[in-house]
Amino acid sequence: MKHPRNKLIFSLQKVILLTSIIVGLILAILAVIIFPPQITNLVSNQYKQFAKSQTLQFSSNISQDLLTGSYAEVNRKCEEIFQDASIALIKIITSDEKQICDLSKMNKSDNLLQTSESIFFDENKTNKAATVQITFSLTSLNTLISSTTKWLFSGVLILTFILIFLNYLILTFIFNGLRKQLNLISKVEFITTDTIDKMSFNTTAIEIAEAESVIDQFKKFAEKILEQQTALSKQKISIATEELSKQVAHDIRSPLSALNMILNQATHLPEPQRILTRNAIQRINDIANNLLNKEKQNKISTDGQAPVLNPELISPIISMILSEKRTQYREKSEISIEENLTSAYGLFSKIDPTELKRVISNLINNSVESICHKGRIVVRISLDGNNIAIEIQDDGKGIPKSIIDKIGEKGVSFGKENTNAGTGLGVFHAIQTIQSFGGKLLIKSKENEGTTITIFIPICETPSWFCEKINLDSETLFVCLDDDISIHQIWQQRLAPFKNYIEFKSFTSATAFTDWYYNSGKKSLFAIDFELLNQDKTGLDVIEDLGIQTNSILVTSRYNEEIILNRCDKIKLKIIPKSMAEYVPICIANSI
Amino acid sequence: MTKVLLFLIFYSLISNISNATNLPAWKLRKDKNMIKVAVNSIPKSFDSSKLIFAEHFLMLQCMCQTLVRVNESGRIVSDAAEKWEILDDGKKIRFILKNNLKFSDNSKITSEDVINSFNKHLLPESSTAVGGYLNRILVEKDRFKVIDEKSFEISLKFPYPPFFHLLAMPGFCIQKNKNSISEFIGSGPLKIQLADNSHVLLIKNTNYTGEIKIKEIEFIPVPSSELMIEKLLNDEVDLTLGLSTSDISKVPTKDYTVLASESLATAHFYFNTERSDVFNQSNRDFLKVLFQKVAETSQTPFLKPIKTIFPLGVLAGEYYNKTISSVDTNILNNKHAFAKPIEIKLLASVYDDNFKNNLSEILKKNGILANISRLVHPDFVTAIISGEYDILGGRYFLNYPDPDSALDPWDEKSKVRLGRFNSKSLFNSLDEVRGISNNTIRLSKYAQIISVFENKNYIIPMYQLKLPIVHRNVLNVPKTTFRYETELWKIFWN
Repeated sequence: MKHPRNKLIFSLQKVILLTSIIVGLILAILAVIIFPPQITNLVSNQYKQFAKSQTLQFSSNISQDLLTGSYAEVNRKCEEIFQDASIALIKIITSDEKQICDLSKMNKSDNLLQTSESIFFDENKTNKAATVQITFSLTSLNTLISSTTKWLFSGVLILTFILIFLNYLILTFIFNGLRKQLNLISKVEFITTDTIDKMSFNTTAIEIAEAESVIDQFKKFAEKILEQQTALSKQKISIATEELSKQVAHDIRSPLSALNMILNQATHLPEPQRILTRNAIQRINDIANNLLNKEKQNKISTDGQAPVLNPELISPIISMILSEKRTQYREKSEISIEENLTSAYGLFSKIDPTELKRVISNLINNSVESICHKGRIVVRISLDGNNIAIEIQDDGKGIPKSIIDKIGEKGVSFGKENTNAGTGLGVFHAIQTIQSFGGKLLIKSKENEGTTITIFIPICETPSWFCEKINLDSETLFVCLDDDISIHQIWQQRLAPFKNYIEFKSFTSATAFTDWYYNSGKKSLFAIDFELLNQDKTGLDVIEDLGIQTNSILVTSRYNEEIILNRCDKIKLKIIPKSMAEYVPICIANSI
Repeated sequence: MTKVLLFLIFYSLISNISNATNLPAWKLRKDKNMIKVAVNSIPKSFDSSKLIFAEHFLMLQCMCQTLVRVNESGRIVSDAAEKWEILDDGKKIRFILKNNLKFSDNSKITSEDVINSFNKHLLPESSTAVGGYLNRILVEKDRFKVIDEKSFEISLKFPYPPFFHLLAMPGFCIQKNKNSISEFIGSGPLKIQLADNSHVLLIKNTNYTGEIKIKEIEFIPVPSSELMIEKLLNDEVDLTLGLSTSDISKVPTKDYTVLASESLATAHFYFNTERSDVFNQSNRDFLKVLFQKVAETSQTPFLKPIKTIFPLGVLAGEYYNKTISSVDTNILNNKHAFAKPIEIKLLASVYDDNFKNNLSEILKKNGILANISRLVHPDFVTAIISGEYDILGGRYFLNYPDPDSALDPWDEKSKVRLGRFNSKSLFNSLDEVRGISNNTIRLSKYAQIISVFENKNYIIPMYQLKLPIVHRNVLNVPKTTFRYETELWKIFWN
């Protein structure tokens, strides 16, 4: 079985050859059908003109002899011209009916053309002296036309065959070369640089520009395929990694929240154990955050577009960068980096998260560097009027007063004598960035006591999807659907103070939840996770299916995914970031 | 009021006169659509049988119609004749005249008038310069037969191909039988209004049915070339005929054009062998060499030296291929033969002073005494008629491209002879072959006969000449390539 490509090219060769044969034959047929009448017509018209002019010339030639009575001379001239084979008859008759000349050699079969001219006595041509009649035989002319046509047809036919043959030779030459090349290509299983290099048309001594061009284009095409193949495999690996990271981060976070809450309540634990446990939890949390952070960084770098300032929930950003920093400085076990995000719930600002992270990162770096051996860095988020205040406090060596006023200027740095850094650009850029968000940066420092840097960024309107607080009526049933039991525990803990009038129920399976829902007639509020592992539907699908969006909240760590946000926006469904579940305010109506 | 009117009329007259006087004379003539032509002389009569000079025939042509004429393409076309029939194998031609053909005096032109016009040349007492042509070819008796008022027949001795060209000669024009110059009546495009010795004024003939643009032509006699130049410079004439070729250079070319009218005219030397026996064959042979040397050295753009009597295109080819016989130079020692001065008379309009001096010098060198004189019109005619010369430097216009058109002045019977020599045998020989109907054979025979005669050197070929016509630039003069002579009545103002 032939390769399809070979088959196509082979057909093309045949089509071209066949077309040239058809065109050639059409031309030859046209030459037979159209040319002979055209030639006959043309030659006949020309011959008529010629005959007329010859008669006129003859009349003019004999007119003086005729007028002066030199009839012998007229006759002599008649006989002279009559020798012309094409002249069948000459007759000259005077106005008094005298026949001066009458010569004829007409055959019955002759095709004749009759011409006549008059000779006049006067210049005004009113008195006719004689009429000259010359009849031309067209037989020889027709024979000439016929033989010319035959020759013409034969010529056209021969020329056609020569052209077809030449066409065949050229096509064979071109297509054989291409066919060889295509055979070579067809044997290639993987496109590699080597196979591309082997592509060429130099199978003969003659170079055909068009064929070379086709191969060149094909080479370029193969190179592009190779490039895209490489890029695609890289992208696949990257996506797989991202998916895995996301899954791991998601899976780790829920139990971490539970652990964190339990740790907060586990007041009976001895202090050293509590600190150890908290650090361990923190460390796991940091790993999760870093995994998510990598995913986001990849997205930004692949997008390559200038960030648009959208309302961003500040606390996860800060939490993420702190995790990163803790990982970065885990070798410096004497330096603790802590966070206090209790008051950060629901604080949004229009900022570029990457830039804010860079600012916070630089500032923490400064704090770390200001601590000689042991120390503590605390990052707090709070609401300050219309601004969100992000406070970074360290107990490092502080900044001398003389430097504080200049510290925001370009090139001014302090306390980096032992490091390779110290360009003075960190704080300068931090101020520039914060100012570009419409905020400001304040530095308070005391030498040998520490430094507190507070960033003020304007608070913005809370996005419609965000659930600012949970309003519960007394005797409302709070139902949690989450594949992660640790979330059940968080909610249980959050509702524990209201257990007398708020009933709590939890499900891990969507099917069980649906079955229960159909049988339950009680007024309920549903906190439903988006991602239900190993289940057919997402939590959002369940909400949509049951039409319970008015009394449901989607609790998910994928709150910043556009597809999910759009779907929630459509059905006006509120969202609580999963990491914020432990901070969301719960209000009980009619509560005591 | 009357005074004012008188003043206005007077002023208007004065201003018109002054305007008129401001305009150059030729413009006034142009406004009047008339031209003034200077000719060497005015004939005493326009009777065609009394004219000799080509210029006089040109004047006659303005007033006269011939049966047929030669058009600008050199073709025979009808003029007074409407048509004709060739009868009796070409020996009889029946002419039918045009309807309403009238003389300028409104009288009808009849067959009789035409025949009378021919007969003028055929009468024994006629002084015609062209009658001989007709005489040689017409039958002896019943030459003309009137069929009716409009048609008549001419009987020839034999079919004669150049007959129609002969009839186109202005000498055979149709005229009323009058002799006085002022009484000449023809049927041509113009007619005589006034004619005397000082001028001839021709005006449009309203009876002429052909097309004519000019309204009037006035001829004034100006005998010498110097005077003609003066007349041109003084704006007294618009055109000159017969200006000497030596004076052409004096023509003011800014306003005038010199037309070298192509012609079959020749200017040869003719011996008068009747006055003296000195011009025997050997002396003629010797003089031929001298004369042709002079011709070579004195040539002008209008005078082209020629070695044969007939210019090219008249006779058969073999005539022109003949070798010129060498001259017996012993004659140079026979000076006593020319002891008495020879009388050479030259036509002034052809042979200029330079020619005369060269001729005089070469003869003197060879010990030949000669009285050479350049004669203008009437004196030259007198010399021709009287035969008072030994050698005549004359001029002759072939009337058509056939040798028969130039033979008459050689005939001893001719009334106007150029040279005087024995030509009997020539004409006898020619009479024998003239009737050959095949023109090619006829001309071949003529070539043989004339070559024999030419070797006798009675006539020394000198020049083929072009007729110098000087005309004002704004005049349109028809080309004469085929006609050999310009029809003056066809001239018009641009």
